[in-house]
Amino acid sequence: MKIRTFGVARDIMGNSVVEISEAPANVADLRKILGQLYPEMSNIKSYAVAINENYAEDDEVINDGDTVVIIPPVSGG
Amino acid sequence: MDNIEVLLTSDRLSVEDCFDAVKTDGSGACNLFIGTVRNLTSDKTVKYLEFEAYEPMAIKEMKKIGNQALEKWPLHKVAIHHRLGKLDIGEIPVIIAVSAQHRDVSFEACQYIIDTLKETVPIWKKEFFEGGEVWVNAHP
Repeated sequence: MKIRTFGVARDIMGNSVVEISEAPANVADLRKILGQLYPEMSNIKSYAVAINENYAEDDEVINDGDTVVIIPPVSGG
Repeated sequence: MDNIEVLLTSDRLSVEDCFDAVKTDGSGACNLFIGTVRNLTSDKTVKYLEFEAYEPMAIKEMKKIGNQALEKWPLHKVAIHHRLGKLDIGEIPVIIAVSAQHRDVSFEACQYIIDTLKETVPIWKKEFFEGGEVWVNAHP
C-alpha cells in the first residue's frame, strides 16, 4: 500500500510517497511496520496517522483504498 | 459555514482582507492575531522559513476549529488565513480574525483558534539558519 508523508517524516522515509509491501490491519500495526522499516522514526517526538483526511486512533482499521498519511508533529502558525 | 472563511495560499496574506471577511454591521469588536516570522530562535539567527501543508486535511481542520469557536462563543464571523512556501523575516504566515458584538469573547476566541491551529492543523515549518535547517517541533 502507498503511504504519504510530510516534513521530518518525509526526510526519514526518503520520499513523499512510499510503498510498503505488507498490508497493515490497523494503525497500531502500521506503526509497528514503519518502526521496522524506518528505525529513525523513533527519533522524532511523535507522529499521528490520518486516514481519509481524519486523525486516526491506534485501533482504527485500515481498509483497501484508504488514503493513509503520516503526520509528524505539526508546526503551523 | 458562511461565517467561516478559510484560506491556504502561497500568496502574500492581507490583513485588510481578513478584517473585511469578518466585520459586520452588528460587530462592536474585530480581533486580529497576526503571526510574523521572527529572526531568532533560541539565539540562532533565522534566515527564512518554509511552510508546507497536507492541504485538504489542513483546510478541514481549520474549518473545524472555526466551527468550534463559533459554538463556544457568540461570534459573528471567523477568518483563518495561512500562508505556504518560503517566507522571509517579517512576513506573515498566519492571520486569525474574529468579530463579535463585544470585545471580551473576541479575545478569547482568537487565542483559542491560534492555539488550536498550532496543535492540530497539518502544516509544517522548517527554519533555515546559517549552515543548517530544522523542522520546527519535530524532535524531543
